[in-house]
Amino acid sequence: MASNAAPAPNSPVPAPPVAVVHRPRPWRAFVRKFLHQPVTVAASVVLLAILVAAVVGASHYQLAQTPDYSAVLKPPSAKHLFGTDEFGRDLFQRVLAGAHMSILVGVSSVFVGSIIGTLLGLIAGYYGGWREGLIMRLTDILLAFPGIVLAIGIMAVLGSGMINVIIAVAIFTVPIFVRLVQGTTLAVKELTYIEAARTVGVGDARILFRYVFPNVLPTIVVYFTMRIGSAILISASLGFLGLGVSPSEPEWGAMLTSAQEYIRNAPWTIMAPGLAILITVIAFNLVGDGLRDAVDPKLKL
Amino acid sequence: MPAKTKVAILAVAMIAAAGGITACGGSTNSGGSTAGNHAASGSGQNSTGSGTAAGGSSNGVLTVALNGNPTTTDPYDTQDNLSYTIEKTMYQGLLGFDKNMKIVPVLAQSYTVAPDAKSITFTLRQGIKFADGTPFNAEAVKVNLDRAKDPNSHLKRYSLFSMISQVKVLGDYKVEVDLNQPFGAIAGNFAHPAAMMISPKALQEYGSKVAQHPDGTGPYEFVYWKDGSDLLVKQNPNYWGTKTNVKEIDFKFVPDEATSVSMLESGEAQFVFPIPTDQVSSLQSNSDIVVKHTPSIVVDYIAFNTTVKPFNNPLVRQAINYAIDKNGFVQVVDNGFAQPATSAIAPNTWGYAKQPPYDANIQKAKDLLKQAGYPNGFTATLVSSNASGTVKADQFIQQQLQQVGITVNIQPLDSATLDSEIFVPASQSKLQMYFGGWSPSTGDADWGLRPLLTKADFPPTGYNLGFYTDPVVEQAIQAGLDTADPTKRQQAYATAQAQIWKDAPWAFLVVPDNVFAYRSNLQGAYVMPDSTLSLNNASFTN
Repeated sequence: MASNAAPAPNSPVPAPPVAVVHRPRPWRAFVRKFLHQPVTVAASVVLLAILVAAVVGASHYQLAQTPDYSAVLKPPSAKHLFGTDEFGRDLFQRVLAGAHMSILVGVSSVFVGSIIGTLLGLIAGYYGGWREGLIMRLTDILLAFPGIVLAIGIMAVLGSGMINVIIAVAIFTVPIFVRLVQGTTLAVKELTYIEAARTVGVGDARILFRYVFPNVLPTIVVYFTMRIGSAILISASLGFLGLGVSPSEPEWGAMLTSAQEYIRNAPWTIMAPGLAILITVIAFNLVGDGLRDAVDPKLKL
Repeated sequence: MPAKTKVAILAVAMIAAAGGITACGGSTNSGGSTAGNHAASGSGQNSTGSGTAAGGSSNGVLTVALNGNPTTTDPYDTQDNLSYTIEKTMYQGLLGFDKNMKIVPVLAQSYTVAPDAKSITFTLRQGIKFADGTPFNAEAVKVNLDRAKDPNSHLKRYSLFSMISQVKVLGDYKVEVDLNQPFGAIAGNFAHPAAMMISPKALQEYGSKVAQHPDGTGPYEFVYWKDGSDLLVKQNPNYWGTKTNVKEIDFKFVPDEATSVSMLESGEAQFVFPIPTDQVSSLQSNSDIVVKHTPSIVVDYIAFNTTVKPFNNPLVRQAINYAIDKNGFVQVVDNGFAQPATSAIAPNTWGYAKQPPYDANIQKAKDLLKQAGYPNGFTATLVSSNASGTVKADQFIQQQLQQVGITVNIQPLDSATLDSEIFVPASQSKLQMYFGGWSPSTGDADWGLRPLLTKADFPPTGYNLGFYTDPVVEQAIQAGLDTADPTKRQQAYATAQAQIWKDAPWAFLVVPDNVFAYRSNLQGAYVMPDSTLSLNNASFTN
């Protein structure tokens, strides 16, 4: 793959390519760099499979909840790919239905969290002054808590339920994006073309979204992907601690909680949801890593 | 650098997966759903192993793994069986229970209850000393009971002694306890571990801090209590009974049941209770370990809030009783280590009367629901503690009721939140269904029924969580207290149980077994039906 010696894919060349005449094609460079990382490509394939499973999983909810008392704690077989749990429910169906819940929680919470975080970060970074002071100090306070402690605290206030898990994980995601976006905005707003835009009288909102935001976007995209991994982990932890969804739901963390009782005589009950979490989180993080390397080699997080 | 982060991510994810293995231990409270039951076989009183120096690895130290922390060592201030287990090695009562929950004299030689059930007289055993050397006599009994009956002592077990009006010393070894109302079940209250005798000297010296300096007449005396770790007792030189070759008992607090099972397998602990029922088969294959299960006196039930719709309709409550397959519950939730409940109290409770079973019958349940005006079922919330065994029971109930169209939302709560949900007056109660268990530690029908199913015990102060009341039941339970005649009492409780069974203020589920295991070189240690341990006759054989 790395045979194209000429353009030296890893050289730290920023957006304008060497070719003089053609318009820069950042997308092509991005795709090329992305595809040059075999691990990332593999992780993307896995991630795609997980996303498909998540979509399919929605329709498997009923199956995942159907008990069969005559087939309690059966090891993996052709009939039950991942075995069955303590109520004879098929673990493959449950992991599938769980994928739907986990991806839904992961994506929607990080989506909400990143939007709020980005807005606040842009404002703090661009305007500075008291706005920056207020936003950044609040961010510091939230960041001072370890993530899981913060999420547990929020769940304790909100009570259990899927929507509340999303809110808790979203709140926990906000400060990270604020920090990230504010830092980048600080650097970008000093660039000459922004100064130029300001001198010709372009409005703040337009500058922020037309000129600053596109510069921040790559960082956000990279971090977005990586945070989904942590969000899934946090929501599974909440489920594991009994703070998330109802314990009978096919949620990965909740499945782990009930499975720990059977770790000695039915280890597959813990393997199925445990591996599902492991693989999903790794996939998201590896893809995030790959994206970062592909977007801009100078961009160090 | 990406490689490094990838490794880190992998590590994090693996820790997360492994998180499933550790974290969150079990929990079991006194009333809670302990495991347990069947074929009482603790080898009780017989031979005390001839071995002298208790050879082998034990060195005369018996290590017992318990699934939580004790709360106190003051019996009068104790509400959990785990603390009683420890206290019972240091303290003894005037009366006690044998392994079948029959009342037997201990520090008393004999006792008589007046026919009007308004007093009880004890003749005490002579020549007994507390561990600190103070002699045990009628005066010591009076000091203990005067403290117990005084509401200003603020002791948690006040309710067991509140009916005492005065304690009369009739001689050095004779005491009469007068009651301010007839209380036919009084002997059971004195057999309850809450009525164990504390050295009057210790009470005087330490006052309310006596829990830190326990001193009784039991075979063992206190050495130390390391919070969160263990409590050690050693043989009491002043003990009046037969001493065994167990020189010390070390109670280790191990909240995680998987850990205590490993401790038993490695020989680090010689006795473990409770054993998770799904580990029994793997432990049974180990020849160094004996697994036993004996019937408990716990009844697991769902209480319905009888003041709110739809549960104010007896037909709905009966329908739910028919909808739940009790044998399925035994198999799925308790792995076979339980019996279907056949009354509101367990067969080992004094006064028990068997009732005709509510056999699982989906069609009948549906018909009853239709008759009650709920042909399509309804949605309701079930609250319970968040102990893992309890959550499993919740889910089984949810699945069973789904079959008759009742959608159950499960809400397992931590104990503080649960208490704030259930201990509220009827007008404020949002409770619909509650799953839990009750162990009447006096071993008497009175304590199995009165606190749970009479008007005087409505929340917030009582445990009648469903606000059930019925004139026939109220009258029968009172009649059971008004006399000391066992036949009349038995009849009264039979009437009460029949009416309760018909009214179905609960879904009557199961009587779980006490499941315990010990190293094969130990004998004479077992779990009592009230889920406390009996260790005083334990000895090593090798």
